[in-house]
Amino acid sequence: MTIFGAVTAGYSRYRAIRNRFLFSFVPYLVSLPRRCVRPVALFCVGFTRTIRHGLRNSVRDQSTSIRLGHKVINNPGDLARFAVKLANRCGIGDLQQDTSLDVILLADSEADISGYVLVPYLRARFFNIHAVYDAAELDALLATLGGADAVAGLRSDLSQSGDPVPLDSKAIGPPRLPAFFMNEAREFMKSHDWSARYCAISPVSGTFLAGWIKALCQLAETYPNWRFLPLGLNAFVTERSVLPSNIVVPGRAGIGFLTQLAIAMQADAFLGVADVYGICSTLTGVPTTLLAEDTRPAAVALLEECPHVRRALAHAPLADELAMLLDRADATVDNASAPATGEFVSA
Amino acid sequence: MLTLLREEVSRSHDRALGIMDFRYAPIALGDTVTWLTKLQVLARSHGVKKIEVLISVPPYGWLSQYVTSYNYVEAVQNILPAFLCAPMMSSLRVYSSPTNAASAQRILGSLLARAPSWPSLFSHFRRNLDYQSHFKINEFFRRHQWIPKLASPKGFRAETEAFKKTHIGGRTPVVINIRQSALTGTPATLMRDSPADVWHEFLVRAQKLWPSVVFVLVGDFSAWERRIGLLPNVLVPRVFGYGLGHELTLLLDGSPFFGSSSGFAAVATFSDVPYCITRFQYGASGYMKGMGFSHGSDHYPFAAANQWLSWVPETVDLLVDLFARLWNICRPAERWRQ
Repeated sequence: MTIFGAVTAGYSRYRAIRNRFLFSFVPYLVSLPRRCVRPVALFCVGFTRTIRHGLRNSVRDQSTSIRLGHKVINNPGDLARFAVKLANRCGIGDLQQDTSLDVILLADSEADISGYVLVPYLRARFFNIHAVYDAAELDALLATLGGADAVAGLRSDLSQSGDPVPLDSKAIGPPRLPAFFMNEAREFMKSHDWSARYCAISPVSGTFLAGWIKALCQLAETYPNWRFLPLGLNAFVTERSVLPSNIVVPGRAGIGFLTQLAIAMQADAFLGVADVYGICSTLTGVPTTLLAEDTRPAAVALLEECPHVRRALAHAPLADELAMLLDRADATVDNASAPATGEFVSA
Repeated sequence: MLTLLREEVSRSHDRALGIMDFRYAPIALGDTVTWLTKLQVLARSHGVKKIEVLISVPPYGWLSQYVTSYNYVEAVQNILPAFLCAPMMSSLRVYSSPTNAASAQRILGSLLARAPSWPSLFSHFRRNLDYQSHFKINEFFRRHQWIPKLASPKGFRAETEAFKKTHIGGRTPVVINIRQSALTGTPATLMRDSPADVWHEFLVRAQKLWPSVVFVLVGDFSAWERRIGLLPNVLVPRVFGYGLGHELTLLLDGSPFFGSSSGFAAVATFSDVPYCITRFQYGASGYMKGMGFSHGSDHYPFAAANQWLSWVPETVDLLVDLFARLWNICRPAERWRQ
């Protein structure tokens, strides 16, 4: 081996060791806190916090939390009944930052509970949902939530199922959905026609196709500035059928449940049954006409003193009802009670 | 004084607790159903028949790239029906509060009762969730030769039947999902996306080859191209106001699945429906190895004969071949059903 060769080999070896140190050992050292210290720290914090909060929660005064029980039945009006119970229980301003809301659901095995998990966002940002599917589970669950006094009210809530729920006067006031949904609803209406006025519609099940389209077409000439937004699953007509240009179905644009609630709250008028959309517009103060269905008992009993709500029968002439509603809405152009923005949460 | 905690401990003895804490768990359909299956596997391994699902939705402090305190409720709204797919679920608890005090009581009860939980409480405190791998599922299958499967979520069957009656009629529904994350507002792992041109061409050809089939295109509303939705043999449930719960019901009630490796493919994986998953990723095989499963394996270890995977990138001819194979398997059952 020549001297040159030995120097070259030595230098290569030096470079290899240096590179191993720089590109392997140093990153390893740098990552040690992330790999070792962080999990240990997280474990210690998580474990301690769970013990502390768990013990504190089990000994705290349970009367400080607002509780609502509801028996979920597989019925289209039941979600509205739940929304009214929630609004009655959590009046405007009742929920403070340190007040917790516990919702206990006893669900029918064929009932969809996903809507019930989302509706509390109308009144609260911080809440706990407990859903069970049978009575034995419910007993065990209630035992973990409070003493006999706290549970007695819940049992009475859970025993009511199909009766109409009366709406309290203290419940009237704009619901506060998260800002995301309020913004999405507003953008949907603005992007379709920012200058138009919008009437949200929640059709009577099974009657939309013929009668409603005809009535809305009749109104197109008299009220050219109005657009109609059918909400919910009943809003859908058959595949790819042509709708008049003054009817826009938000669900066809992929608009989800909570955004449709926000549309009901931000529209200029509402016509439809007293379902969860109707309840939202009623609570918000939107000029509303609620249709009573012949086939189904009312899920909610509305206040007599709601000046913005008119009641009508589902078989009343639709064009007349709509015309009256739009006139009322035009008379109250400035809907002062409707919330302009949603609710933001910041850390 | 600690009556509530004592009750919580006694209630924890007969059930496994599943903790889905969105501070560290991903909000994705595939990860959720894998998590749910692992929870059911854990419960069966410990001989308990009930599971309790605890979803913790902290209003802030999110770690995800796309889910923030502004839009987290929408993410929860979109994924919620997936949690209802576990037939062993006895209760669902959703906690949304800054302190998580109530959920801490529940977890503490489980800790004191030494009840099984997924992830383990040791992992949960470290915010470490193995949401991808199939190791535990494969191990359970090796021991018992079966795994607990998913079932259609509760509460969506009547509306799904109405959808089938109104829109599908006498045709045979086949659920398809074309992964198109690049079209969404939250693009992620774009190398897993399927080529829309190829699928469009396949669906055009399928009109002539399989005229009795209607392809029900499921998935995020933004994740499909208009030209595909406009084909006469394609139905998109979401344009009729239906959602994830209805799509899962349609799939888990027996409609065959054909589509790219993504969330709905994971749902089909843990079900009894016939499926063919295309564009299976080599990178993913590392999470699923065991029980003879490796690169290029046709089947998951726990899959039935009518459930298989394709590893090569899609071409029109490949899709036609794969679907012909799937159709030949499903056709006798469809005939019998009709």
